[in-house]
Amino acid sequence: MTEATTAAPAGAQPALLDVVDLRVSYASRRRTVDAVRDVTFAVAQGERVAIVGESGSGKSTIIRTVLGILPDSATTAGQVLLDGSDLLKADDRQWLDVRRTTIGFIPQDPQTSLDPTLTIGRQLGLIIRLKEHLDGDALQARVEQLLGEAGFDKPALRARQYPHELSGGLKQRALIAESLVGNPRLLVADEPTSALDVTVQKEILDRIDELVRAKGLALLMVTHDLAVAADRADRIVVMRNGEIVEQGTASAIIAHPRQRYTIDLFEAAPAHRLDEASAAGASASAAADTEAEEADDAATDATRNAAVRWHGVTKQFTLRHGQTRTATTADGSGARESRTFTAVDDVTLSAPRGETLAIVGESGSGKSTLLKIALGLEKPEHGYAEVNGVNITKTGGRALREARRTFQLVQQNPFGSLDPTKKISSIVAEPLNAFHEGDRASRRRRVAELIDRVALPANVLDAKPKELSGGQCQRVAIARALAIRPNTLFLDEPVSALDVTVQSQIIDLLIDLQHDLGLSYVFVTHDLSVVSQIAHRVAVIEHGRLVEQGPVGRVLTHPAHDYTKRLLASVPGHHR
Amino acid sequence: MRTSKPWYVLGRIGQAVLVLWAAYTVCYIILNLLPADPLALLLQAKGTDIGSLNADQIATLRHTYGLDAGPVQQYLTMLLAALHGDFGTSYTLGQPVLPLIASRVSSTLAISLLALVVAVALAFALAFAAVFTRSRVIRNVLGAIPVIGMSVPSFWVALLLMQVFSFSLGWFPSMGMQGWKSLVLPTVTMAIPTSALLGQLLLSEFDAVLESPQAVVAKAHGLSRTQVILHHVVKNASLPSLTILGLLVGDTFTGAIIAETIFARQGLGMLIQQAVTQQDVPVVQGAVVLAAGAFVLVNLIVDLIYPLLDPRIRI
Repeated sequence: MTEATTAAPAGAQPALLDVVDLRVSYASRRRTVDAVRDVTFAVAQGERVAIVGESGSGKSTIIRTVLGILPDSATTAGQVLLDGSDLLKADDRQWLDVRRTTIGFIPQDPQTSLDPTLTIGRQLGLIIRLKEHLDGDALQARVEQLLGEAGFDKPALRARQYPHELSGGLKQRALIAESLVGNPRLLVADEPTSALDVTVQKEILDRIDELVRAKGLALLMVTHDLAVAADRADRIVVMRNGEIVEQGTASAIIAHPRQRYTIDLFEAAPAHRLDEASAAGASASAAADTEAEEADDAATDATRNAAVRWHGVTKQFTLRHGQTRTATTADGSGARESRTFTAVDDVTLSAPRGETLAIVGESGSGKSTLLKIALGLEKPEHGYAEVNGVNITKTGGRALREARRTFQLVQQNPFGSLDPTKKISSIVAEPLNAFHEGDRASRRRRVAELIDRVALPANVLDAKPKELSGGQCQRVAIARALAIRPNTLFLDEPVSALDVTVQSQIIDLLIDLQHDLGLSYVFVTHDLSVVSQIAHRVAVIEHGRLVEQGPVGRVLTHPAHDYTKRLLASVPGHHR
Repeated sequence: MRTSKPWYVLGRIGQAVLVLWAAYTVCYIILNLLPADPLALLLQAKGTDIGSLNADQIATLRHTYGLDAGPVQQYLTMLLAALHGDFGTSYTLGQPVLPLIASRVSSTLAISLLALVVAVALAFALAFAAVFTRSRVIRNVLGAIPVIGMSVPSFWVALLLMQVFSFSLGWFPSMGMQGWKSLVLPTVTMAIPTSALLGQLLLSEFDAVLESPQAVVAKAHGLSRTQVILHHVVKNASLPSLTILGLLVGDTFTGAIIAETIFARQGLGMLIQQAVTQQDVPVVQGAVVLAAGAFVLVNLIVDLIYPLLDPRIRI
C-alpha cells in the first residue's frame, strides 16, 4: 500500500497513528494463528476512528499492538507508525516513553482493571507522579482535577475510596481519569462500555466524546456494536477474521455499506433491531393498544392459565455482619444503607402460556432473583411463585423435583454452564439420566434428535465444550434444557455473552422452538433490542420494583414509565 | 467496622476458648482409649513395677492419684484443674506440666520464629528472582525448587546438614543449645518445608497477578515492569500467603519435634516427642492445648491484619 491510501481522510492533517500492513500472529505449541492480517489504517490528529467487529476479528489485538502490551507469544510484522516512528521496532525504553507521553488507554472491564488494594486517588496519583512529576499538594490537586474531568461529582471524597466501593460506571470513570494523565494525544479504548449497563454505557460514551472534543484528542475505539461506532466515530474500520472488510467515513459506511458482513453487523446492532420492532409495533399499535389494555384487564383471568406466576413476591437479603451496600448515586459518601437489602419488592407478575415474558432491568435490579424464586432456588419472605400451577415456594423435596420436569433453565454463560470434562452427548443426556427417562438406546436417540433440533451437526456429539464456539455451546445448553420435554424455559440472559450476529441466530432458534413445541419462555435480559425480537409481554424492573408491564409493542413504542424511556433512549444509535 | 470490631474480637476469643476445650477433650478421650494403665505408667516412671504391689496398695494409689473415679468424673476434675492453670504432673519427670512446658518453650519459640522469618525471606527471594529473570531456563529451575523443597523429608535434610556443616566443615555444632551457632541448623531444617510451600504459592500468585487485567492496564498506563511489580503485584500476590502462613503454625510443632530430636535440643518439640513415646498423658495434654492455643492466636492475628492489607475484607 502506498502512503496516499493510508492517510485516508482526504486533505486531512498528517496521520498521528499510521498502521501499515500489520500482521500479528500468536504461536501456540502446535501451530501459529494469524490474529491480524494485512491491516492498514490511519488515525489523524483529532480524528475519531472506530474498529468494529465480532470477537475473534482481531480488533483487540490491534489495540494491544498499538499499546505494546501483546503477550510474549505474539509476533508482529508490518509497521505501526506513531508520529512517523515505527513502534514495532521500539525497545522497552521507547515504549515506556510512548505510553507516558502520547497514548492514553481505557480498558474493557473496569471491574478487574483497578488494583483492589489501593484507593482511586493513590492509583491515579501513582501514574501522575510518573508521567507529570508532580508531588504533594500539586499532585493532590491534579488527582481531583482529573477525577472531575472524568465526571466524578465529589473528586476529593472519591479519591479516598477503594474500587470495590464504586459502581462499574464510576470505576470506568476512574480509568478514564487515569488515561488522561500526561495529556496524551491519542486515546485508545478497548470496548470501554461492553461490561456496563446500558444507561451507564451512554454516560461513559458521552463523557469520552466530550473529553475527546474538548481536548482535540484522537480516539481509536474498538467496539462490537456498529451503532455505537456510527454514533461516536468519524471513520469506521470493519474487521472480520483478522482482516479489514471495509473502511470509510462513518456516514458513508452507514449509508452505503458495500460488504454483506457490514450489513449483517448493522442489522444485528441493537438500535436497528429495536427500530424494526418499533415500526412493526407502531403499525399495529392502534389496534394493539386497545387490545393490549383489554389483555391487561383480562390478564387477571389469564393468570389461571399462566405458565409462571409471581404473587406479591418480596425477597430481602440480610447483609453480612459489617457488610455494606454502597450507594452508587447521589452523594455517594459510601453511606451505609440498612442491614437488609430488598432485592425484589412486592412483585406480582405472570407469564402467559405459550408466549414469552421478557423481564428487563439493569444489573442489580432483582431480575435474576425473580428467576431464582420461580426456580425454587430462593425462598421469598412474602408471596410465592407458581410454575404450571405448582406453588414452587411452598413445595419441597420429591414434589418439587417432580415439578421440575416441567421447567428448565438456560444460563447466561454457555461455557460456564457446561461441564468442560464431558462430551456433548453426555451433557445433553444429563437431565434424562437425572430423571431416569428411557433406556440407554432411547436416550441416545433422544440426544441425537435434540442436537438435530437445535441445528447442530451430529459430529459435535463426541466433542467437548471447549471445541465449540459460544453460540454452539448455547445451542447445546438449549438442547439439554429441552431433553425432558419441559413446557417452560427460563432463559437468563441467554444471548448476552454472544456476538451480535450469533445472538440473532440463537433468538431465531428460540422463536422456532417456541412455535413448534408450544413452549412458554421467561426471558431475563438487560437488552431491549433482544426483547423486541422475541417477547410478547415485557416487565420492566427497577430496584426490585415492577415499574411497568404490558405487550411488547406498547411498552417499546409508548413507554409509560420514565425508567423505561431512559432505557430506550440509552440504546446506542436509536432514533438517529 | 469501627463499632463492630470489639464484638468481632470478643466473638473470636469465644471461639478460641471453644477450640481449646475441644482440643483438650478430644485429646483426653484418645489418650483414655490407649490400652495402657495410667497407674502402671506412673509407677514405672518412679521405678516401681505395678506387678510388685498387692491389690490394696494399688487401690490406695489409685485413690491418691484420683484414678479410681469414673472417666467422666476424672475428666471433669482434670478440666477444672486445667482451668486453674494446673495441668497435672508429668508421670516421667515428676514436675508440674505448666512450669515444665514454660521452661522449654523459649528455645523452641526462638528457632520457630527464626525459621518463619527465614522461610518468608527465602520464599519472597525466590518469587522475585523468578519474576525478574529474563531467562526461561532460570525461571524453570526456580520454579522447580519449591517442589524439591516439599519433597525431601525434613529429618533427611537435617542429617545431611549435620553431615556437611558439622562433621565435614565444622562450622556449626551438631547438637546442644549453646550460642547462636546452635540455632542455625535447626532453623534451616524447619524453614525449608515452610518456605517451599510459601514459595510455590508466591510464584504462581506473582505470575497470576502479573497477567491479570489490572497489571496489564497499569503497564499500558505507563508503569514499567518493575513498577508494576512493586506497586501492584507484590501486595495482591502476597494476600493468599498470609492465610497459608496462619495455617502453617500447626506444622511448626511437627517441625520442632523433628529438628529438636535430631539436633538434641531440650525444647518443647523434644518434650512432646518423649511424652508421646512414654505415654506421659498430662504433658501430651498440656502440649496439645498449647499447640491449639498458638494456632488460634496466630490465625486471629492473621484475620485482624488481613483487612489492613485488603480493603475488600471487612470484619
